[in-house]
Amino acid sequence: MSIAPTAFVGRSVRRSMIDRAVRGRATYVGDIPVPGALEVSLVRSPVAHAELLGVEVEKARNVPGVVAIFTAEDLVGVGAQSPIWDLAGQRRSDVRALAEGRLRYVGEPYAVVVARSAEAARAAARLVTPKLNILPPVLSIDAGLAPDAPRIFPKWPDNIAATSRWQAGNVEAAFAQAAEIVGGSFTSQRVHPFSMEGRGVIARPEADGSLTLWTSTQSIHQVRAALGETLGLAEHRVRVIAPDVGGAFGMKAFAYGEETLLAFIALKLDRPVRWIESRKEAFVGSYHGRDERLDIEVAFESDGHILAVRCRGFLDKGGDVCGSSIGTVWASGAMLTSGYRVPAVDIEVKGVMTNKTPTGAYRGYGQPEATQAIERCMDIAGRRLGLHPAEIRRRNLVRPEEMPFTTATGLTLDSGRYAELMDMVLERIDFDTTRKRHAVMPKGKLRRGIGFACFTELTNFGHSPLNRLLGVSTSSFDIVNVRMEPSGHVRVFASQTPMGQGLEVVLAQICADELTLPIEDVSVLYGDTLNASFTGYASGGGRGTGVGGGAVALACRNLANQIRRWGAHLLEAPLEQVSLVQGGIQVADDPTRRMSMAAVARAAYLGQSYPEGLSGGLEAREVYDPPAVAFSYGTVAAEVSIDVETGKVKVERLVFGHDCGVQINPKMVEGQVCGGAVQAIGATLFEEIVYSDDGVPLMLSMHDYLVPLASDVPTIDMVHLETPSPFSVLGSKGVGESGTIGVPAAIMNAVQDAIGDAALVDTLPLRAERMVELLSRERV
Amino acid sequence: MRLIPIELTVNGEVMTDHVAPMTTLANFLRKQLGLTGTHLGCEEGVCGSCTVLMDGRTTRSCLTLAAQAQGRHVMTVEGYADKPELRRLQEAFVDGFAAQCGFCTAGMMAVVAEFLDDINDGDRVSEKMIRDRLNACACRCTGYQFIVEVATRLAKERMSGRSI
Repeated sequence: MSIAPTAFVGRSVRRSMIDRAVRGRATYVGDIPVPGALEVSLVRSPVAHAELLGVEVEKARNVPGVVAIFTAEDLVGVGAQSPIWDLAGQRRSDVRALAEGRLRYVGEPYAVVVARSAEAARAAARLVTPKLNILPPVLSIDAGLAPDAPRIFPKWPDNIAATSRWQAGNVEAAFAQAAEIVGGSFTSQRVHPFSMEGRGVIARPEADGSLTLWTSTQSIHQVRAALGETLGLAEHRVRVIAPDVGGAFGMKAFAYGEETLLAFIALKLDRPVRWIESRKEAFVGSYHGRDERLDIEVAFESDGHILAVRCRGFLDKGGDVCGSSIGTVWASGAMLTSGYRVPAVDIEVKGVMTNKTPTGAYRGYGQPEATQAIERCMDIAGRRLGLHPAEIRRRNLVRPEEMPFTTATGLTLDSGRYAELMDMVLERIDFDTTRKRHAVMPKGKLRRGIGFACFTELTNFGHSPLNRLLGVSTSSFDIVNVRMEPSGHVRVFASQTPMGQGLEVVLAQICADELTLPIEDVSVLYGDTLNASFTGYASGGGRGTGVGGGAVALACRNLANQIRRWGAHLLEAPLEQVSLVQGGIQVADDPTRRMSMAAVARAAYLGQSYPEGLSGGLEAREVYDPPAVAFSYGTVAAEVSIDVETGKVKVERLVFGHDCGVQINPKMVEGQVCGGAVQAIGATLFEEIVYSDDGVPLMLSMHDYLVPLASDVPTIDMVHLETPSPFSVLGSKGVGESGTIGVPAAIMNAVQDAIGDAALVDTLPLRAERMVELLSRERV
Repeated sequence: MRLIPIELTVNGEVMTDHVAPMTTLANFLRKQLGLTGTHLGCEEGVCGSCTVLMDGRTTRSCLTLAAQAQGRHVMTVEGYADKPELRRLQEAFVDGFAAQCGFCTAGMMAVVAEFLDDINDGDRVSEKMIRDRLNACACRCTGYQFIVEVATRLAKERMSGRSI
C-alpha cells in the first residue's frame, strides 16, 4: 500500500518563508527599493468632528523638497469605494480617499504631501492647517443612538449604518414559560489589531501607461477592484503586489483610501511614490476592532435546556462604513447561538456611527463578542439551576448525529464532536479537582478561579449564490490554475494571499499530495495579480485552507486526470489502469510499465502525438465555490489568579481544545491557535484604545498601548480533535480566528469564579483598576 | 549639513562611511547599507523588532545613532549565517516554527542569541527566565510559544556543551 496520497498533508512541513526571515531576506513593502520614489505623508484630522471649511497649504508648499500637495478638491474624477459587506438597507458613507467638507475622526486624512524625502514630507505635513468649525463629537454607542445626536452623515436620518435581524420561534412564549432567565449587558472594548508591520503602499507608473502597486494587504484582487472603482483604472493595466506581509489580522483585509491616493498621485505626477505608515499613524489610520455591546437575555427550562435567546446588540463602527466592516454586525448576531440548540431567537444588531476611527474586520469578527455573551450566560444559568457548567452545555450542544444542523440564525453546523472535545479539555485541566482545591484554599492575597467556554468559528466563508441574500456584494469562490512545466515541475497560481501565517506551504502540501510529487517539485505563486489566479472574497473568513486549498486540490485533480490520459496514451494502456504513483504514472500494479512525471511532461510539450481530446502542454484551472460554510469549534479552559491588592489578573493555565477538521500542517495549526489566543489574552486583560472626552485617542504609542509580551502569557496546552467537514474538498476548515473567539469568555468565567457572585463580570478589559472595583463590591 | 565620518565593523566587515548626525543606526543599516533585514516596528524603542547585536549585546537600532556605532562590531541578521552558533539559531527558528510573519524575527533572534551567550555552566534555566528575556521583543503572531520552545532547546544544548 502506497503512502503517497498523504505524504505531506498532515505533516508539519517547514516553511521556506521562515528560512528567508531568519536570513533577513523577507521583503516587506518598506524594504522594496524603488529608485526615484517620492515620499508621501498624509495630513490627518486633529479633531474628532468638524466642518472642514478649507485647507491652508501655502506654508507647507514652501518647505524645501516639497513636490506637490493634494486636498480633496484636487481628486478630480476620484470616486468613493463601495463596501464589500452591504446588508439590506445599509447606508453609504460615500467618503473618498481624502475627507471633504467634514472631518469625522482623529486620524482621517484630508490632505497629502509629496516630497523628495520622508523628512521633508513630514515637516511640510505639519504645516498644513485645516480651517475648522468644530462640531460636538459623538463618542459612544449611546451618544450615537440618542434622538438628538449630531449626525455623523448629515444626509442620513440617524447614525445607524446597518441593522441585522433574526426572528424564529415563539420567543415571547418561551420567556413566559422559562424557569430561569439569565442576562446581562456584555461589552467588548475597542482594540487595535496591531500588526508588527504597519501598512504601506508604493505606486509606480510604468512606461506603457500601466500601474504597479505594492501594498501590505491580505486582498490583492479586492485592492485592484477598488482602484478600478475609485480611479476608473482598467484591471488589466493594474498590477497589485502584496510582498511579504508583516501580520494582517483582518486589519488589512480590504482596500484603504491610501491605495487609491498613492495610485492617483503616481499617475498624476508620473513618478513612483511611497508611503510607509508610522506607528502613531497606525493607531488612528488602520481600522480598529471590537467595540460592541450585546444586551442579551436567555430563557432556560429548569433542566437547563435553552428555550430562547433575545438580544439587542450595538457596534461602534466609528466614522466610516467601509470594506467588510459591517459584516461584524451580522456575525455578532448570527453567531450568538454558537454550537447550541436554540429553538427561538429575537436578535437585532445595529452598527452605530461615532467620531472614532472606523472598526473593521479584526480577527474574530464579531465572534469573540457573541461568544462572550452566550458563554457568560451559560455559566450563570448553570450556577442558578444547580447544574455543572459542563452539564448545562452538554444538554444544549448540538450532537454529531444531529448534524448538519441549521441554527435559528440560519447557519448550518456541518460537523463536530462538541461535547466530546469539551470533556477532553476539562479532563486535561482537571477542572473539578482544581475547583475543589480552590474552594479549600485560604482567602489570601491571591484569589483563584477556573472557567471555560465553548465556541464555534465560521470558516470556509462562501457560497456565492447566497451572498446577495446575506448582504455580501462580491462572490466568494476561488479560482486556481496549475501548470506542469516541461521539466515535470509544477507551479500553482494560487488564489489566496498569505499574510504571514504560512498558507503558501499548506497549498504546496496539498498540491504535492494530489500529484504524488516531492514538495520541492512544487512552487506556489501568490500575492501578485499578475500570476495569482483569483479570489472573490479575499483571504479572510477562514478561507485560506478550506477554499483556497480546496481550489488547489480540484485544479490538481484536473491536472492529474490529464497526466493519466497522457500516460495511457504513451504507455498504450487503458485509462482506468493508469494512475499517479510516487512522482510518475504507472499501469496498475506493474512497476515495469512506468514513466516519470518529467517524461510525461516532456511528451506533452513535445507534441509529436496527442491523446484524444488533449492538446499541447499540461495546465488546469478549477473554480471552487464552497457549498456551504464550515464551523471549526473548540473549548477553552483557563485558570486565573487575581491579586486582591493590585487587581492584577494572571492567566496561570490555558488549555485549548480545537477541531478544524483535517489538519494540513499541524504545527502551523498550533501556531495559529497560540497566536490568536495570546492576542485574545491581551484583549481580555489590558488592551484598549481609550478616547478623551473630546474624542482624541489616548493610545498613540506602544508605550500606552500594551500588547502581550512573553511573560504576560502561559504556555498553552493544546488538545486536538479532527472531524472532517463534509462541506470541504479535503475535510479542512479554517483556524485563523479560533484562537481569539473562546478565550475572553473562558477568562471572564474563571474571573467570575474567583471573585464570587457579588459583582457581575461583563465588561472588558479586566484591567487592574476594574478588578479592584469589582473586588471592593464583594467586601461591602 | 556636515556629515560625520564613521568606521565600524558590520557583519565582520570593516567599513568606513559618512552619516548625518541624526541618522539612526537602523536607517544607516537599512538605507545606506541596504541591510533591510532589520525592521522598524515602532521607532520608539518599545517593540524590539529593530534589535541588533552591538559588540554582542542587544541594541535598539532605532534609538541608537549611527555615529554611536563608531569603532563597534555590529551584527545584523544578514550576518548570522557566517557564525556557527548564530547559524544554529537560524536553523532552530526554522525547524521550530518560531516565526510566522517574520517581521520581528531578526530582533527576536538577537534577544535569544544574547540570552544564550549569557548562560554560564551550571546555570538553571527556567521558562520564566526565558520569557522574561523575550519580553525585550514583541511578537504579534506566534504567541511566543514556539519561540520559548526553541530558546529552551538551545539553552539545554548550550548547557550540555553540545552546541558548537
